[in-house]
Amino acid sequence: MAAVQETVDQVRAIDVDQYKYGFTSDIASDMAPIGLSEDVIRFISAKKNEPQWMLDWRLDAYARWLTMDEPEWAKVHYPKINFQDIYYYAAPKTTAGPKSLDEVDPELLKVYEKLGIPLREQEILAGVEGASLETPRVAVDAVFDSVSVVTTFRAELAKHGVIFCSISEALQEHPELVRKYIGSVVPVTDNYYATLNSAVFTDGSFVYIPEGVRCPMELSTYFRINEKKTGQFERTLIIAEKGAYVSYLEGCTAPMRDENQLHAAVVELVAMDDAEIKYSTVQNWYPGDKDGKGGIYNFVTKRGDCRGARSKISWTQVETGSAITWKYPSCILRGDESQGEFYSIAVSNGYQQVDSGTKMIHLGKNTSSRIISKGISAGHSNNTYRGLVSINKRATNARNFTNCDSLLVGETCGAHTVPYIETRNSSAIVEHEATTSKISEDQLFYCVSRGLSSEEAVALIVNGFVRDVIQQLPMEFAVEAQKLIGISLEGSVG
Amino acid sequence: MTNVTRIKTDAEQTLEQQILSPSLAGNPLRAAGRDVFVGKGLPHRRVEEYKYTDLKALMRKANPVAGETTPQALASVVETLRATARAGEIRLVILDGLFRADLSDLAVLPAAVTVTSLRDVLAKGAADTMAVLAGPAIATDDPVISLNAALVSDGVVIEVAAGAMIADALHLVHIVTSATPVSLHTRSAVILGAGASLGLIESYQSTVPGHQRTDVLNVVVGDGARFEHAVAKSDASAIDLATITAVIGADAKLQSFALVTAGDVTRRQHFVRMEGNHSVLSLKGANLLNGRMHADTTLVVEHDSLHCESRELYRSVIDGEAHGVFQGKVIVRPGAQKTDGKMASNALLLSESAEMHNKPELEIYADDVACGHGATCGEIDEGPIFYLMSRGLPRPQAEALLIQSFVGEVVDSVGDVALGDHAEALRDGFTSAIEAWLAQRGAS
Repeated sequence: MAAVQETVDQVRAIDVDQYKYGFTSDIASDMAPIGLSEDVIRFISAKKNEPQWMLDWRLDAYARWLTMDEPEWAKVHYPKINFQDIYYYAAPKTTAGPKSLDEVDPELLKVYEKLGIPLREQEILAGVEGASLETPRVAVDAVFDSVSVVTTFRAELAKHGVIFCSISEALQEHPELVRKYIGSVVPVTDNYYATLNSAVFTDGSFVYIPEGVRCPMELSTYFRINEKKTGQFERTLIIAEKGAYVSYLEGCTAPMRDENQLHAAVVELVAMDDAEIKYSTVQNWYPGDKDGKGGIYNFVTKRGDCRGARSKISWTQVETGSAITWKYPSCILRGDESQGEFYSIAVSNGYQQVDSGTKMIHLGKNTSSRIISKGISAGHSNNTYRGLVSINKRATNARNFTNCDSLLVGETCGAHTVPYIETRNSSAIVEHEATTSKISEDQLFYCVSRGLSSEEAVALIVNGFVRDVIQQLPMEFAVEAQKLIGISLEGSVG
Repeated sequence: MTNVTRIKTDAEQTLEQQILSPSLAGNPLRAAGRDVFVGKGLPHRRVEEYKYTDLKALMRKANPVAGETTPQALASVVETLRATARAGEIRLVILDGLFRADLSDLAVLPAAVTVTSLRDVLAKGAADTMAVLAGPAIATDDPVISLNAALVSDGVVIEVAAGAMIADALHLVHIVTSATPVSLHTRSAVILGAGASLGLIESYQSTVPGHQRTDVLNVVVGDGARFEHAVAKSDASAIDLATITAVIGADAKLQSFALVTAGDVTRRQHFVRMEGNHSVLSLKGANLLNGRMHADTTLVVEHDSLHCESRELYRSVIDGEAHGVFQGKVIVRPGAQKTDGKMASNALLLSESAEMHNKPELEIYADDVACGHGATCGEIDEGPIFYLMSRGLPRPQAEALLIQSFVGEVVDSVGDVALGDHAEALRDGFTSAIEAWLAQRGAS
């Protein structure tokens, strides 16, 4: 059979071999000495002019991290990471408080131009050719290695009382908010990488939506790793007060290097009564080359706390990059009638290893959660869904529905499902189903008999396979995600 | 980074003493098991496979090993056996941890079936039988199998000649006569030659509650052979850890069914390797739990051949403060194309304090397969209850009826493979055990 042209083309764009965001930029950087020590943490804290409590918090985390062991339970294999061979801080030299975009290093702006990220508000306002006034606008926080370079639309957001800035700025301007919420969802000692992040986190976004405000535009953060041998440790904190709503998008890329780089982020979401947070990720870190050399180790802790009644947190993720992904965006459904959602598409190719899933912890009454996970493995990759649904004793009438489907493309990849379902309340209704298959002959035959070529049929079926999740993405991301999800079917059909 | 010295619990210390006892010196299985157990101790919640069945916490102390049967007890056993003899059933008796040829119905054993005590087999140490007793590789790391290997006292090895279709069912009767709680460690094996067919029933009898038991059954199903196994676990043991390992050849069938209605801590684990093409595996069971019972069903099914089918279906009904656990893992090895695997665990929670933990896993390395699993957990549906009550049934009876039908679905499969002639009697037995459990529920 011939290769599936449409999908193959799409893959070319993202295939491990043809990673289009793999360019490097020569931008002078200010770096911390290599390795990890108390001094490096003091250095980072001093660079950011942090209050004493923040430094103490970091040092405490570091002391605890030293006593912890690297987790080994995930179905991923990699050589031991040498934590002393990483730069924990790297910042473009010219970013010391630029007042406007004009002061930002033009080289840096070029990077974002190449990545297609609009940083100039007027450009965004002007939009692309032919765009109408209704084109949704997106405020962007651009994080380059260890620091946030620029955050757009801050003034307009401020009019609505929305705070959207980098977490370093938030520490200067709203320390009381940061202090109140940081570590309240992901405690310092949560896990090995979260503790490491707590000690050395450098930047990330801070979002605060006041009571009753519906954030007027999509917020987004764009992460870029550029320097060699650096680790990126960002920390994002989103707080939605009573009745607030925010939709937040996150994207990421990195240059092609033959070394493995570490990205250990922590994301904390807090939703009060009736608040809703929608968090979408398109993760496209460099996945390594076709032989599995290089690529990003993406060890991320993401957790949302539905603290208030009737609050809702929805995670949507499209995972196509990274050599290794270790990521479980979770919801703690504390408030009565709160809702958690997790929609995920994980595509792995080449020698990528994905171990991802979610945790839904039902604590409040009448809480509900929904998990839709679609894994597609190709090449020599391994793709694992690992999830926990836990119904607490007091979570009367909790409801969960889980659906994990895996699609295998080729004979050398693996697809695995490891769900944990713990029910401690009899009134809970928990359903879990998982299937693993390749595109069935019946489906193909049906489509072909209706006049589609076999290439078109496969493209149609794959698109249908991931549709549930794509639908959950905000418009802007859905387009990008669809482009990313083209998968190489050469192994199975061509 | 951290060096932790393992603190041995009372139970672990007693077990170690038992393992090192010179009376077990003649057991060639012991050495490996002993090293593993002394090194790791009882499995606990940090051991992934025992996350929900923390034996270190559940097993506070180890009972003394079962001693010799007293003459009075023996006489009573002989009497009971005589009274309960049934046509078409050949009983093999394991009394207080030892296989008793004198009490077994060996006189009516068909010529194609050979029955030897495990002690004799171990004394001979024939390489092929020893390989059977080692089980498939997926089972080698299990700490309970190691503990059993280290402490095993006896068991029975059943061999069926190629092509022999055995109409009578073998019935392995485990009897404990001790009037105080003891521990028993037995291991048996079933080896079916090509094209052979055998049905095996297992049951447990004891006079007092509180015994601790590990039992391993190593099965080899030759090409084209059929093996069906049915177990009623109804004695009130303190700890019952039963393992079944199986290696299945080509065009073969294996079915195993277990009904658990009693026992404080019960874990039934299956490690099955599908080695030949076009074979069919069916693992089914029902767990009816009340009080503070804890029942764990753990399955590892390894597909390493083409066109095989596996079906796993377990139903749990959980009342009181009981805990149910289901862990099922289906592994499809590279190249095991056209595998068709389906696994389901359904649980009914009858009380507020009942708990169920489900962990159905898939590990798949071949692309042309259809594998799925489902797990559900919830209360009895109010709709059917309302229907039955509106037809005049009082609520307890309506519930009982729905529970019976929920569990009945798995019981119905008994007899599908090789126990055909006994199916009706067996199903009746299971049904009355279910009714007894329900009656007990109604009474409390």
